[in-house]
Amino acid sequence: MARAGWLILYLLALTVVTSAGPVRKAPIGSPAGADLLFFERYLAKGLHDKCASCHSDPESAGRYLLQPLDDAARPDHRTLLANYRATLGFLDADAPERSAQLRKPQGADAHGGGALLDETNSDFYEHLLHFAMGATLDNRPPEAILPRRITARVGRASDLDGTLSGDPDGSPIRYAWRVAERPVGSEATLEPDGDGGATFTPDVAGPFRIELMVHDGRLGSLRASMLVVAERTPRSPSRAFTPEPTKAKRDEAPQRAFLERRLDPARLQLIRRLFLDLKWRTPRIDEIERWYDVPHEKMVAAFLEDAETWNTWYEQQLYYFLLLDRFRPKQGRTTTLPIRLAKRQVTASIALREIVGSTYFGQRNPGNDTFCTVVLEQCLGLVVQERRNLRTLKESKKMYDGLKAKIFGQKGSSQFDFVAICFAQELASQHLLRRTWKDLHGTDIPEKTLEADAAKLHADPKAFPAILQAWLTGPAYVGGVEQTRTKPEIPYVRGLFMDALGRVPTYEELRNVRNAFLSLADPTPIRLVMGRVLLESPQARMPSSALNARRFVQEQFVRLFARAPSGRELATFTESLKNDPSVTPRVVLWTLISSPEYQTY
Amino acid sequence: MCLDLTRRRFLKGSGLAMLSMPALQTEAWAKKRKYKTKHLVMVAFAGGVRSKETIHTPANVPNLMRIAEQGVIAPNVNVMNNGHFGATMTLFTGNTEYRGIRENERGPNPTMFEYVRKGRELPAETVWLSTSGGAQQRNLVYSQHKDYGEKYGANLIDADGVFNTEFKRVIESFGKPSVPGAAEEAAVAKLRAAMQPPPVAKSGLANDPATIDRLQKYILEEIAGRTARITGPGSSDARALQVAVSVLRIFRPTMLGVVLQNADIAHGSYNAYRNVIQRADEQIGRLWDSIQADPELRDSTSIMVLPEFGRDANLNQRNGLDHGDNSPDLRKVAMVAAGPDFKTGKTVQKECKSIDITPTACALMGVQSEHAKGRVLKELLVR
Repeated sequence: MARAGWLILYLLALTVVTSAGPVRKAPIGSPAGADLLFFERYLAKGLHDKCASCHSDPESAGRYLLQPLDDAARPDHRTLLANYRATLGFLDADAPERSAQLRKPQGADAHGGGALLDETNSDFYEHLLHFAMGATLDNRPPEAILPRRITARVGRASDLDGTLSGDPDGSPIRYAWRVAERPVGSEATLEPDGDGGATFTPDVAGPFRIELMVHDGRLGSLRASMLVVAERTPRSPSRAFTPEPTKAKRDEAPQRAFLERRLDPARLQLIRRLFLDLKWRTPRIDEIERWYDVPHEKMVAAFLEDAETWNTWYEQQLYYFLLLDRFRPKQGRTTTLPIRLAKRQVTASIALREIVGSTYFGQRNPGNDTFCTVVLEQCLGLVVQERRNLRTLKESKKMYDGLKAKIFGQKGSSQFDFVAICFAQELASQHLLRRTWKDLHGTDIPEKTLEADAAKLHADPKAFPAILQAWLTGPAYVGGVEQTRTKPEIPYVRGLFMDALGRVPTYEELRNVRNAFLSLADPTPIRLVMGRVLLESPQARMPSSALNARRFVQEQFVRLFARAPSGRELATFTESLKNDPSVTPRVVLWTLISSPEYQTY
Repeated sequence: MCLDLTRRRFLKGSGLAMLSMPALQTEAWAKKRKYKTKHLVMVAFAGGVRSKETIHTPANVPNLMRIAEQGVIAPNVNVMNNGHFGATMTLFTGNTEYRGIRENERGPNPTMFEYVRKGRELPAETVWLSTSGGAQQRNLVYSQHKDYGEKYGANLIDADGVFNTEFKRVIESFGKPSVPGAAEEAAVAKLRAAMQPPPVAKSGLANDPATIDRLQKYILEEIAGRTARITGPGSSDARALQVAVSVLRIFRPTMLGVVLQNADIAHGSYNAYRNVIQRADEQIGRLWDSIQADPELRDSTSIMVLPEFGRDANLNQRNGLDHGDNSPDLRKVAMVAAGPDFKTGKTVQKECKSIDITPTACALMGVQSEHAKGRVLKELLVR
C-alpha cells in the first residue's frame, strides 16, 4: 500500500513536470524547470556521491539540503523528489549556464580548493547544465559553436561559420544569429544562409560581438559568442563616424613625413586630451596626423558632430544614473540617442528625459520613492534628505502615484507630469552644465559661467553643443592642458586597448576591466596586470620584422605620450631595437605603457 | 613613482618598508598611546540589518555572539538617516551624512582612515577598506576635505569588482601574463633610464613599488583562487570578508574597514535576508578566528561590527522588509565590539549614536577625529 502511495506521488510529480510544456523558461525553483526522470538517471547519484557528505547535514548544508540516499543506485522516490526540488532552487532557467548549482566549487577542498564546476568537462557538469536547460531523457539541448574571434575588413563581406553546431540527438536545428554588440554608428546586419553560415559586412571599424543560438524544435542552446574585429582598409568607405585618414596608407609607410616634422607638444597634447575627454580613447597615429594642422575650433566642431563623442556623453549619463551592467539599455530607441544627438535630432535635455523614461530606468528605480528621489537628485542636483526638500519629495511621490500635487509651483498628477516639470526647471540646465564642466575641466564651473550658460540653455535647449564648443575652445580648457591629469579609468581602459590592440574594447570587456580597475583605490597594480595581459596577447598589434626602428619609436612616443621622443630617448630606443636582441617592439611598448607618464594626460 | 615590477625592486622595497618609517613611527606612537589596540577592524554590516535578526535571535549570528561574549554589546546605537550610502558614510566620518541614493561622490568630512593616516603619518599600505558593493562604497576611502583627501585615503579592494569570474574570463581570453625575466628586466631598466622625467600629476593615493608588487601578485592569486569562486546570495559580502582575511594576513593593517551590503535583499525576501545575515556571520566568525589565530594580532586587535541602520518593523507586500518607517527597528541598531580595550561580556544599555563610531575608533588608534560630531564611547571601554 505504501508503495502504491509513493508511486502516486511520483506520477503526480511527473504530471506537474511534464504538463508544463516547454520547460526552458520556467521560473527558478519551479518543478517545471527541469525533468525529474533526467534528474533521477543522471544526477541523483552524482549529487549523492559528490555533495551529500556536507549537504545532507543541516549543520553544514547551508541553503542546499540534500536527503541522503539509502541506496544510491535505486533511490526511493520521496528522497528523489526532495533532492530534485532542492536542486531546482539553484537553477537559473533564463541563464542556465549561470546557475548557482553549476558554479559550486568541488574537489578535495570542497569550499575553496577545487576547480569550478563550470570549468570542467566532466559528464557530471554536462548533465547538470543540460538539466538546467530542460533536457529530458529523449531530448538533449543542441549546442551552438562559433570560432572565438575573426578579423574583418570594413565594407567587405565576411563569412561566419556556425556549421559545427549540432544536436546530440540528431534532430535538425534552426540557427538564430544576432549582432549583440556593435561600435557606435554601426547599422550593419547579418545575412544568415539558413544552413549554419552567415555573411557579415562591417560598416565601421571596431569590435562587433556576434551571437548564435540554435534550436532543435524543443530546446534552445546556450548562446555562442564570437568577436569580429573590423579594421579599415585604405579604400574602405568613409561610413565611419571617426575621421578617416585622407592620404595615409596606414599599413605601408605610416606618417613618415609627419613624424619627421618638429611637432608642437602643446598641439599634440590638446589633440590627445580632446580624444580622451570626448571619445574616451587615445587617437591613432593617422588621426593625430589628420587633426594636427586643422584649427582647434574646426576640430572641436567636427567632434561635436560625431556620434562617438555623443556616445561618450550618453554613457556618462548612464553612469550618473547607475544604469550599468544589467540595467544598461540594450535595445530600443534609447540606444540610438548618440546618433540622434550627433545629428541634432534631439537636445541633451530630451535625451535625458528619454533615458529617465526608459524601462531600464524604471527597473533600476522602482517605486515612487526611489524614482522621484533619483530624478530630483540626479537631474536637478537636489539632496532630498535635506529638510527644505522633503516637501518637494513628498509632493513628487504623490504626483508619481497619480494624485494631484504641486512641485516647483506647477501642478501635475502623473509620473509623466513629474518628469516634465522637473526637466522644465532651470535647475536641470544648471545641473547638466555643472557636471559637464567638471567632466571636461576637472574643476568646478565658475559661478558666472554657470549663471550665464544655464540661462542660455534654459531659454534654448538646442544651445548645448554651442556651449560645449565655446568651453572647449576657451582658455580654461585649452590652457588647462598644461595641467597634467591622471587618466580616469574608462578612458584609460579604452586607450589601453587602442594602444595595445588597435581597437576599443567591447562593452563586456570594458565593463569587467573597468569594474576591476575601480576596485582598487590605487589601480596601478591592476593597470599593470592588464597592460601586460594585452601586450602579450596574440591580438596585440606588433610590427613586422621589417621594422623601421626609428619610425617605430617616434610613432609610439607621439601616440602614447603625445610628444616626440627626446634626442636621447630616440637614440637609446632605436639603437636598442636594432642591436639588443632582448629589446623587442613588445618590450618597448611595455616600457612605455608601464611608465608613470602613461598614467597621465 | 616607479611602476615597473621587478623582483629586485620588490625585495629592496620590502626590506625598506619593513625597516623604515612605519616601525619607528609605531614605536614613537606606542609611547604616547592610551589604549592597547594596535589594529582595528571596523565591519559595517550594511544593507540594513535589524537587531531583531542579530542579537535578539542569537541562532542567526552565533559567531557575532561568540565575539560579543569576549567583548561588549551596545544595543542602543541611534542612527539619523536611512539611505545606505549616507548612513554608511556616517559610520566612517562621525557626521550625519545626507547623501542621495544614487549619489556617487565623496563626502565632505574626513573618514576615520584619513584621521588615522594623517594623525599617525602612516603609509598607504597600513590602512585598508574591503567593500562588496561597487561604485558608491568606493567613495568611503577618502573625503573631499581640503586638509585630508586622497593622500590620506585607505587602500581599497572592492572584491565584487575584481575577484569575479567575469574579470577572470576577460583575463583568460587574452592569456595569462608572464613574469618578466632577467633579460627583459635589464632591457626595460636600460630604456627607462634614458627617458625624461615624467610630468607630475595631481598627487593621489600612492603605494610604494613593493606594495604595488605584492598587490599585483595577490590580485593574480585571488583571481585564480577561491575568492573569485564565491557565488550565490550574499556572495559579495562573503567575498569582501574573505578579502579582509587576506589583507590582514598579507599587510597586517593598522586599520581595516569592511563594508557589506547584501542584507538589502530584504526588500524582496525576508528569508533571503536572514540567509545573508547567517552567511555574513559565518564569514565574520572566520575573520575573528583568523585574528585570534595570529599571535601578533590576537592581543592587539579590536573589532567593531554594526549595521548602518535597521529595517522597517513590518513586512512589505512582497514579504520583505524596506527601510523607511522610522520605527525603532530602523533607527536603533546594535553594535558588537571586542578587543583589548573593550569590556568583556557586557551589554551596555546607554544610548549612543552612529556618529560616535568614528571618534571611538580614532581614540583607540590614538588620533583625534577633529571634524567628527560624535563622542568617544567610553562606557564600552575598560578605561
